[in-house]
Amino acid sequence: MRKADIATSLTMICVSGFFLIQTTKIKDASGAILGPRFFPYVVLTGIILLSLLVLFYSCRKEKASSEETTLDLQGRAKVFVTLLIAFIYVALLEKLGFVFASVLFMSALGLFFYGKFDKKKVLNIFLFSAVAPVALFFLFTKFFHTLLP
Amino acid sequence: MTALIQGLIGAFQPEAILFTAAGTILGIIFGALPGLTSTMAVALLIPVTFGLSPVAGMGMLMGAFCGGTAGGSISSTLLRIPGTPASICTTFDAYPMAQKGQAGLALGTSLLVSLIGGLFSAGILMFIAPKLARFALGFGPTEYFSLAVLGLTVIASVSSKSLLKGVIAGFIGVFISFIGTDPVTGMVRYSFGIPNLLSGLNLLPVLIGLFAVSKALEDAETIGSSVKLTSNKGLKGEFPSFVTLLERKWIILSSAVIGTIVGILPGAGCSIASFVSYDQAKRLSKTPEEFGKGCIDGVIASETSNNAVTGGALVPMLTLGIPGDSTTAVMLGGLLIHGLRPGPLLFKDTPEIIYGIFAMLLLANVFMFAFQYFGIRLFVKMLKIPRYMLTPFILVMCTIGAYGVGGSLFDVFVMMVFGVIGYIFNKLHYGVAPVVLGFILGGMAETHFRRAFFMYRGDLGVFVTRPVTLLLLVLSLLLIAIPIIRNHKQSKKNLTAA
Repeated sequence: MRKADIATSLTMICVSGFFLIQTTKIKDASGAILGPRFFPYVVLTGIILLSLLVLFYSCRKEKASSEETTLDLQGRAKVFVTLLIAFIYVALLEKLGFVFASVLFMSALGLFFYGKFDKKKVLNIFLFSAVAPVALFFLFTKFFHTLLP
Repeated sequence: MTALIQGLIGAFQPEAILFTAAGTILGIIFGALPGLTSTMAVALLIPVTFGLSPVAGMGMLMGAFCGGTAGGSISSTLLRIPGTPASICTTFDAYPMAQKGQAGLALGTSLLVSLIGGLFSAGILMFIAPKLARFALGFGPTEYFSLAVLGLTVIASVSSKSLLKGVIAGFIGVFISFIGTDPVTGMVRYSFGIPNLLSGLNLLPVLIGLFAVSKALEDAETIGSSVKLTSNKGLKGEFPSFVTLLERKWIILSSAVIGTIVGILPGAGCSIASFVSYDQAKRLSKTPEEFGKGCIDGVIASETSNNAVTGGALVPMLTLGIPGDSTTAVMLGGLLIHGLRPGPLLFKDTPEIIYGIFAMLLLANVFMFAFQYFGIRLFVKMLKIPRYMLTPFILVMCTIGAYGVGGSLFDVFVMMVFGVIGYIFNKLHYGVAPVVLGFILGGMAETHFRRAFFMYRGDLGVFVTRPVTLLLLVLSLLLIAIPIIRNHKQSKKNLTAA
């Protein structure tokens, strides 16, 4: 947690610094004191100062003997793969259409999460992944008049 | 009177009743399943409300809110895992009751007092909201600014893990609200040449990402682990006797009042209400030493107050456009989609919609009671749904929600980005509720402050001479000061003890 806090604080300071620079580029034709730049300056400065405090307290904390367990790393790997599959799904959504992209997405993610080879359960995953997107597509487009790719 | 009749007619349309029932059932399912919340259920249902009337749409969302809050008691009782944060305190006593063979009594008690709490706060909503809305008609930019500040300072009290991190998260939410065209001067801020950012970020993809996608990612970490249910053969809800309830009337009443008041406070939510009333119930109980060992008083306190939040949270949301908690923050999005701006003008211009919403809240509570009582065995079966199938399904529902807002893939990307941000913030105890509060209230605070500044030609004294503004700002200062003083005293105590 200590390492993560230090990394997050540094990231927030850098990102806020970047946006502070971007704030100077905001056009302000009014020339008023409370123009479009005033509150962003206040808020970004607040984020930087408070992140510096978090950084200070995190550096003061004693280093833990082992920061992460194998379970934590496995969990994080699962999240990373989930995100990768999800971003690919979003990128292909308009190219393949909602139904086909969702069938592929749910099958891939379901199999990844299940992680074993059990014929019956794998078949259930494919079946559910095939039926659910079709049902959702008809429900949302025909019944609720929602736009879907 | 005409508006009341029109509102009731709108509420008893088949569409409104059907979708309120559907929302309630979905809410109970989401509340019962650990890791899913009523906020998530409401966020996922927003796109479903696109094609419905405002009353039917709000009925569906309130059904999900009431059902989700009450449904959390199911897994609290049978799994010792709170179905929602609102049910954490329920776990302390409901699970030991189940272990003693009193699972039915725990579930039945939770359900009955949830109904009592929900109806109590619905009554308060119907009494207070119209009066507050009339009073708020006289509000100017200084009052709206101080209300937004009050809402933002509640971040200090809801940031239970780390005040400092909660405030940073709130500031980040405020900053995100600045993206887009400045409402006062029309200048573009932080669009980086991206046309989709000219009007700022859409509220819904941000909410779905922060609440639903982040939870799905947290779920992805632990998928594969199984849950153990306490024996539930022949399970059905058993209600406590009238005498039992009468002996605990002060616990029920105090919990309902606490839940309603906490709900009215902008930014506070069901989990805070349940902790405060649990603590209060210990003081009122004849057997405080039994708390945590299967004491029915603990279950009564927690479940009465968490459902009492539902009506209370709607008071500031409907009358002032300020969410009472994170779920009503999402519901705010639901109203905006129908072109309805919550606030005193909503009461003045469309009172029939307000009366319709009141009626739907009452109906949602009744549905919550009926469905959870008669469907308890079915909802318990839901606890066995494999997460490896449910989580991908939820992510697809999130995508529908985000895409449906404007038919743009950009919104889906925004949802995913905020899903990652929400996941990281939850892991590092920054929290997502402060980000949402900051996002909704930040823009409001800035716009009204600048309007007041121009209106009163730079005279900042107006913030202390207008009584309502001054009162709200003093309340805000107290809300910031109290946790700081409390933390300071606690650290001094710890140092002395060491």
